[in-house]
Formats: sequence, structure tokens, C-alpha cells
Amino acid sequence: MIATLDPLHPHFIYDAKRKVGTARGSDKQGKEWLLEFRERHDDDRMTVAVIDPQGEEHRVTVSEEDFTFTDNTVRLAALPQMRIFMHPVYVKKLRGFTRGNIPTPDIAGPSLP
Amino acid sequence: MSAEGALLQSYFVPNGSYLMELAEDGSTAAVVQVLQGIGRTIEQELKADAVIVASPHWLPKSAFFVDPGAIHESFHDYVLRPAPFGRRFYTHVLPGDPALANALIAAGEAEGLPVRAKSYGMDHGAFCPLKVMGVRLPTVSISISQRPFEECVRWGRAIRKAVEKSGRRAVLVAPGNLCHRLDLRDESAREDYFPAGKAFDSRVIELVTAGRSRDIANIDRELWRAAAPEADGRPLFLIAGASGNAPGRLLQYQGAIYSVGDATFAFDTLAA
Repeated sequence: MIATLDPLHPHFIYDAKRKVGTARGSDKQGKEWLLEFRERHDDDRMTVAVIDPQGEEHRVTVSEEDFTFTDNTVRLAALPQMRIFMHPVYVKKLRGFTRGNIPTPDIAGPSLP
Repeated sequence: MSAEGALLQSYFVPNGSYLMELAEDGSTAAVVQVLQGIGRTIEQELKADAVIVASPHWLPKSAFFVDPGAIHESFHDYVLRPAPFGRRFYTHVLPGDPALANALIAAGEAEGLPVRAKSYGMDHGAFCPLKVMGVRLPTVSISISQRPFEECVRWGRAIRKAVEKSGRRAVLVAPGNLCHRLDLRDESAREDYFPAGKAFDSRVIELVTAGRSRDIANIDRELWRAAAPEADGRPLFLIAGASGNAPGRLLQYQGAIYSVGDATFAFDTLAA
């Protein structure tokens, strides 16, 4: 599966109004998964809402070590059924975010992070 | 490592991804030319042999982090084109300095600070200014982190101590913007500048150039909130600790795109 680098449809965005990072990727069947990073805690664990292709939300609190990244895939230990493909540029952006990066916002807010 | 290291200079510089586009297009804007001049100073005049760069976009909460990697690859963390606020895609790779990185971690721990190793690379807050400067020296990538201001000062002191013990002739680059209201920015604004941003930037410049960087913590909180400085102003606290509260020399300043305060300061290192 090859994801294309389309700046008009980024696979990871940061919304500084909501303080939420959102990643989206497709599984082998081409169905879309969403990962909403809703909160970073003081110990750097993150509360993430994973929305599967059926629209069901799985809310997990995870650390960066719970993610596995390859050049173009992302997996999350807490949800072994999730293996999504993203463009390598956005895989790296997401990996950075799990390690504490706050990107320039796609949706600007009055403060960062 | 010998015992004759020195923190030669610290720099507070802008890090907006637009700088790479300006540099690539051969811009003569002061904000770019000053960065390029700093690059020449670091390599040719100071003859530094290492750079420590603290990205204002690396903002974990639990600790200060140091990347001890032998090589640092950039990753993209800004909005890609189209304009007005999307930028071209850039990459950058620099050699690391694992020995210096590990010395920083040890010095932070000895200071009682939460400092840990983490593989990270370089986000644009680190690689954009270094790319525009043209510096190719071994680099240690460190986080700014969402830690209390006084911890940032102590972390700066620990960094300096580690450099002095290491035998390295190093510079510290801690990028950031003064006013940083990206929600108000206006690419077409040429003359206007956000009034609260102007008031905030003026006060910060006054304090930093007087060697009172740590006093920015006392700026009126309403004005602070209105200006929303990048990384909450922490790069200036880090530099205050590292430089021994040295006054900053203002190399350039512009209130850009209505609501972003681009200032460049250089700091000597005062005797401890």
C-alpha cells in the first residue's frame, strides 16, 4: 500500500484551538482509522481516542513505547487489530509528536502547545 | 575529553519554517542575513566544535530530554504548502555528539534535575535555524520541555558546566519567538503589528538587553497571555542559566506578519 503525500489532505494535523493532534491512516482494506491525541499528561503518557472504520471509539492511555513505527505503518500495542498505512513524512511527524513534539498548528489557536 | 571546554556564545533566534524559503530564494531580509552571519561566526570566528540546539517545539512534560544519537535526521513538523502559511518541504541531517550528549545528561542528573536520553532527531525548531545558518558541526538536540522557569535556568547552568568539563568549544542555540500569536497572523501585514505584541516584545527586549532575562517572568500576566510567547519564553530562561544572566545583544528585530515577534539575540558567557 502506498500513501500519497497530499498537503491538502495531511495524515497528521495539530489543532491548537482544541490542543488535539489527529492522525489518519488506512488499513489493508483501505478503510480509514483516526487517532485523536486528546491529552498529554504530566508523565508524558497520552490519552488517545482511536476511531475504527466502523466508527467505534477506543479510548486508551498510552506512552510512546506503545507505538511501533515502520517507514509507512503505525501500530499500537493496546489495539493489535490496528495496523495503518500513512505517508512516511507523516509517520515521522506522528512519531515526533508521541515523543513530545508540538508542531506548527494546522489550526492556529491563541496559545501553544 | 580535556578540561578546557567553553560555552562560547548563546543565541536566541527565530525558527519559522518560512526562513528556509527566504534563504533558498536568496532573500536579503535582515532576519535571514543575521542568521547566516551567526553561522559564519560560529564556524569561522568562534571556531566552535559543537552546537547544542534546544527546540521550542520539543515540549514534553516529564523531564528535559537529550538525544545522544550519532546522527540527527530532521522530521517535518510544520504545515506544507499551499501558501500563505504552508511552506516547502525541507530536510536536514547533522552529525551528533554522543559524548557531549551523555555529559549533559550526567550534569543534569548531578544537578538533581529530571534529564533523560531520548531518540528524537530534529524538528523544524532545531533544524530550520541551523540549516539557514549553514552550520555543519556535530550537534546535540535537546528539548525545551514544559518545566518550571527556574528548572530551565538550572538546566542551562548544568549545560554550561558539562560543556566546560567536556573539552568542547560549544555554542547554545535556543530558538523561539517573542510574541507568537499564530492565530492572528496576516501574511499581507507590512506596516501593522499587534499592539499587545509590540508592548510585550519591547518589554522583553528591554529586559534581555539589560541582563535581566529572568525578570520577564514578572511581566503582567494579561500581557503575557495576549502575546503567548513561543514555548512560554523558556528558551530565554535556559540561556539565562547557561550564560550567567548575560545581557543579550539585539542583532535584529521585526514584528512580522502582524503577530510574530522575530528577535535575534547573542549572549556572551559571563564568568561564574
